[in-house]
Amino acid sequence: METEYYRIYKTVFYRRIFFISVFAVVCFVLAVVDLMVGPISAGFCSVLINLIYPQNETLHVVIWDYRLPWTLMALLVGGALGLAGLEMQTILNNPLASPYTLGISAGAGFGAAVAYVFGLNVLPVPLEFTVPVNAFFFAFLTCMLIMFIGKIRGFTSETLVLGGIAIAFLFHSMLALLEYFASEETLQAIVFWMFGSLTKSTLPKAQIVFAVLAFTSAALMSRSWKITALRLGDEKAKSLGINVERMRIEVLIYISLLTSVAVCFVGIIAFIGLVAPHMARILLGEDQRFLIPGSILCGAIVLSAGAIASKVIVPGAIFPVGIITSMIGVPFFLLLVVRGRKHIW
Amino acid sequence: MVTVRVEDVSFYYDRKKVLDRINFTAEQGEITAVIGPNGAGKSTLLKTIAKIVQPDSGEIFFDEKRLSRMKKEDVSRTVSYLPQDNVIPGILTVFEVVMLGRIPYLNWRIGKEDLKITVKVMKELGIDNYAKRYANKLSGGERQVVLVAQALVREPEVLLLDEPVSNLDIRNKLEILELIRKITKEREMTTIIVLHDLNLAAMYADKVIILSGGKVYARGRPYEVLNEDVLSSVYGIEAEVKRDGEKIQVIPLRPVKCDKGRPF
Repeated sequence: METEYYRIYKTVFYRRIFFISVFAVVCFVLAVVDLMVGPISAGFCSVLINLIYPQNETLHVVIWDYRLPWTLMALLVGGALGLAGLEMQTILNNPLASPYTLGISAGAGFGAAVAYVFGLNVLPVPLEFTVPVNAFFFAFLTCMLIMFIGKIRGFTSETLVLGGIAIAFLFHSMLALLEYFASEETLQAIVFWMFGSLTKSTLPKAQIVFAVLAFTSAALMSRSWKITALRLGDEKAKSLGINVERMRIEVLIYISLLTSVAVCFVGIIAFIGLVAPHMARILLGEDQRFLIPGSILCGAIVLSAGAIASKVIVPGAIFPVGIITSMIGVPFFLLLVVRGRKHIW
Repeated sequence: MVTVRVEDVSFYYDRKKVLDRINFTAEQGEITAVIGPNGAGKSTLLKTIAKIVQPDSGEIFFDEKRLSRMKKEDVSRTVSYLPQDNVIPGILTVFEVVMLGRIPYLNWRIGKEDLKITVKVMKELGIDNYAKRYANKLSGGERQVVLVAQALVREPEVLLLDEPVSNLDIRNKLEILELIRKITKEREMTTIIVLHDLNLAAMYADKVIILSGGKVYARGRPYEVLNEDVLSSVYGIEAEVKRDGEKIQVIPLRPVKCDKGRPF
């Protein structure tokens, strides 16, 4: 009889592995399509050849200098936001949580605006990195502020959500103040940054996001059972030998790193952090061993699809991807909610 | 199996004394029911034994081991605690919910031993037919059995249950308590259970601890400690206690009118 249950468990296990593999294949296909579309369209074979060998000098430059960094950045930033959203929802036990909820994105936006309006740089870095570094610094600062509030009042989900919302409002109003005093050109730059765009992506930036994503996902995977236990409620998790407060702090630090590094290079991209974990959850359940890779891949899928759509909606023009992701993601997500399981939380 | 000895345990919450020098011993193979009015400190007492909260003074012993010196991981392998408010996350099968109880033992890849124990407990509790169903689609009674299974799958030596039957109909209450009694005897566990229903406590508990205002008001066999005077003093009710040998039945009649307000 045990063998029968072992078989049932194996069936579920391999079904989840299958879904993760499907997500990975979809990611790969979208990445290839993303490399193919643009003002200079290219076939699959020519993309592949020019990736390896400069057969067509122009296409080789376009692919290596523009498309490949954009494509990689879409996958990596989507993955980072998907993972950050998943862990935010888990540690706060709240289906509406995302990097937006705790004001991390608002902090990043304010940091970028400080760089644009005053030209102030929190760290001595090259001009190219002024905006990303400021955005990263303020996003991280937001997390530290939330943790400070948690330290005083206890790391409960209520304290963190309320503290985060308050900080988000604070940064939004300070951002509005900066926008009010900004010149027309600066205002335009801030607004464009806030839309979220992949056009300033470079390979070194993609490498940085990759390093952070690889490190955090490995660290979170090694704690996957403990993080899953948080969904059983604080008391149950504590009775399972888990130091709930310490676990929340640790995961919050990983979320801070992921979100800060993702938004600092591409601006604010909403929706992915909220929706990617739910998409993964519908197909993979609550087990973090599968949800972590699942959310990363779902986030990558949504942002990659958004990146493709941003290039093909108006031929020759590239829309900010942040505008597009919600437009293409919401109908798909609603379809899953309406046609899928009733209880996804 | 272990004996739980609570010695002079006190606990403050926001400067209010919730537990005041509690002393009792819970023996292996027995069910010890903790009863008392709301706010008497019953749940807090269970949390101190599960090491979820630390007592401000006093000590709890598992046999001769001091709980304060035990690591949380070791406590989680000895004690299973089923809290009052239980959460079953959205998309988890009954099998997975039960297996999550083994988190202190689980590796990234789940071993055959973990699966074997999970199946064994589910069969013992008669929920193996639900294995593939989603836990949040079960009825209240079924869900509670699943949560008891989750507590048992760790193969604990001490089982702590905080009002495990409070929201269930009478049949489910009896079924679950029968089950808990059977498993407590079979496995020689030390079971401490918080109950509000005095008749259920009288029926299923080997020993009763009556808490009032954070203090142990009385302790002993149910038929020894449950009487009209105790119920009047602790709960502020007039009640009739019918006796038939060691069996007793509590019939609440009316609240006692007190000049000084409620007695607790």
